[in-house]
Amino acid sequence: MIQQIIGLIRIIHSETDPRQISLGFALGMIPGLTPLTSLHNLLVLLAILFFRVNIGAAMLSWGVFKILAYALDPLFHQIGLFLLTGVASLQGLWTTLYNAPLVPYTRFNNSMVMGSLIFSLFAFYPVYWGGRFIVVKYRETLMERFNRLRIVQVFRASDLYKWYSRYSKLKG
Amino acid sequence: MIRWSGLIVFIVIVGLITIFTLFFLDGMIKGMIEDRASLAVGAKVEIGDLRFKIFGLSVDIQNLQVANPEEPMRNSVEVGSLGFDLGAAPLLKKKIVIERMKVLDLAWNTPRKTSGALPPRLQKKLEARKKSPDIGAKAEKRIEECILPNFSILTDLKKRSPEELLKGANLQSASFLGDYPKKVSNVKETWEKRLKELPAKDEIEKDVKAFQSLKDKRPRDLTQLPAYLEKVNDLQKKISDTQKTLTTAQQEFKTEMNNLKTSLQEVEKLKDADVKTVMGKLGVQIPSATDLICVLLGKEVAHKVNWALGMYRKLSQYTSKGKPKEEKEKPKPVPRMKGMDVRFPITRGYPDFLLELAEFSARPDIKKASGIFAFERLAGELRGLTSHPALYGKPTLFKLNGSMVGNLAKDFALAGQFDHRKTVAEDRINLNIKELRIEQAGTSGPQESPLRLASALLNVNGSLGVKGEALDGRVLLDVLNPKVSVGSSAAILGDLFKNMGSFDISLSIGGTLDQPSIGLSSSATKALTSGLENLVQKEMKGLQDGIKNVISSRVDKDLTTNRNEVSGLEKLIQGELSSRLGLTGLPTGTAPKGTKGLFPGLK
Repeated sequence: MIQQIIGLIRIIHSETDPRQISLGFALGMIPGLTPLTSLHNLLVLLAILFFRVNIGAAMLSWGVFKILAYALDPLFHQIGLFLLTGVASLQGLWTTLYNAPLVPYTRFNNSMVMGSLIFSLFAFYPVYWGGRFIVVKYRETLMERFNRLRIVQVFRASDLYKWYSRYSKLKG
Repeated sequence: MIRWSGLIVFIVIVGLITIFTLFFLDGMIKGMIEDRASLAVGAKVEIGDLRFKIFGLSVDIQNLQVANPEEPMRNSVEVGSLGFDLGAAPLLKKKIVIERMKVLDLAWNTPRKTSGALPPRLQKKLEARKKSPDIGAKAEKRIEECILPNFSILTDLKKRSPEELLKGANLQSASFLGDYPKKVSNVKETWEKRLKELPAKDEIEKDVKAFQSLKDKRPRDLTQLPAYLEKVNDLQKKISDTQKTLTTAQQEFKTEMNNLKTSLQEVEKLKDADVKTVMGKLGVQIPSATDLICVLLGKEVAHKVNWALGMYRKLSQYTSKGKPKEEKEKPKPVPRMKGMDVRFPITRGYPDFLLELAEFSARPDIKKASGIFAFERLAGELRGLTSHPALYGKPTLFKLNGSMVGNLAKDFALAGQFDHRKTVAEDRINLNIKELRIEQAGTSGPQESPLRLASALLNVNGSLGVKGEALDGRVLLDVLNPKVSVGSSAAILGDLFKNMGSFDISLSIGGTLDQPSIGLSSSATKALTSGLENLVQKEMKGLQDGIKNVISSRVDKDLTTNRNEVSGLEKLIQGELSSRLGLTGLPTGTAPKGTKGLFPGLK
């Protein structure tokens, strides 16, 4: 985890495309907000590994949004319950899905799964866009100041950083 | 944008998860079944070995033990082997369909090596769960808890003297006789006053003498005859009126005397009433014949019926509640971070759970000499157990056949159906036991039963129907060759049950599941009622006679005195009235009319 976060800082400071970082962050949000054992998270994992997105950003995002999920749980439940029971026009769709092969294993009929998944899907683009915006702005304005910070310089001069840099080079 | 190495990592991760699952799936399923079943039962459910074959989707369970929550060192049920295949196509839709299940070596009430109490982890979970509805609603507590009165009270009473028993008793007869002299005295006073008002003796004598003298002075002159006759007639009328008045008074007195005498005869009735009142206050309760049957066998059967109702209610919690095909279930409240599963109508295919056929056979339990679950042979089947009966379209059927160890019951058959396809569920259970041998060892001490069916052969024929909440059932028991053991506390009933012939008991079950009711009747009731009456009469006669004698001894003296008083009064008044009437010269009670008597020829 620490390695991934350090990696994320390095990537932010590198020439890596900000879209890769923000996409990782947005994808990591989905397993963070939704119950981990849901089937759709396998697809998210595949997307994170298969596409060139930043894994560190995804992991950091997963951790951050997991904490947030506890606070938003009642909201997810309400959203999920409303969609599953409150919208008459969707009943046919849910019934078809409920009777379809494999779909019931996604637990789409669970208010928590449905609410959190819908919430995270709606939040996906704003998080992606916001992440990219922050990375770009950071690189333009704050990165230089950050590098000049005394604490960063001390850290870079430390044995730990040197050891980590050597390990990273060896790892390739 | 594509990272092929990432795909490989993904495949490796998924592969590792799959391999891990395959290796540990048996243990995971075993643990899940054990935990869930333990929570449902309230005691440990343990599986010796579980093998799940992913190719073929078959499950084989060996040595399943379900501990008894009441007795943790014993198993309620033990299953030697349980195997079934899962339908592959329904499983893709997350539906568990078992086409055929085989349950072998079933055994009940077997000993355990370790305690079957729930571990603290599950105990906490169980406590956190919502409490299940009370399944202890019992039918007719009166029947299940019927007891016989304490017959020893009779023995104790026999030891006490009637005087002691009558101590402080307020006797109606004594009180009546206490008031009686006052009544006599009042009558006496009234008649003495009346006698004074009636024509006195000298007055009557004077009139009679005047009449006689007038009779002798009959005029010879015919012209004086009319005046003479008028005088005679007047005098005669006066005497006649006196006679009439006295006769009326005499009759009135006779009536009054009769009333006094009759009321004195009431004392005998009051004495009997006093005996009854005193006996009633002694606390001697006479049981009804139905009470006797109830104690003998009825309470045991009622207990079993209540147990069966409790089991049905418990079972009902796990069975589908008969809902229409398209009806959606109401969502239940759920804990945080878990969400709530919303169920949608199943429009085609299989129900969420279906057990099409389960065949089971019990382990022959020849070691046991007796016991309700000791079977020599037991086999049965269960068909169509499902979570969605309306979708499945058939009711759940079950049947069990067997015989009990040591020829305890020649034939045992339990069959029935649970039909939950419609909104109102219709369930029926039939039970037939042929020649169930009852052999009960005696008990002694404080728990000794006053009346016990020591041995008999029972033919049991029971049927219980449940429509919605309404109960409709009947249990018929033919009791053949009964031998009744009578405890010391009811020794008095010994003769009653000495040579009791075969009889039957009928229990009718009604009411609702929440408020069941049981009615009891028996062919033995009539014979027992008359026998009981004779018995009680015989037992109580001595005591009753003693009390009656003491009451008589207390009352009879006053009664004689009062009788003498009445007799004296009668003699006095009647004598006076008779003597006055005698003076009128006419027979007592006959009043002269016109000239009739003295001058029959004169008109």
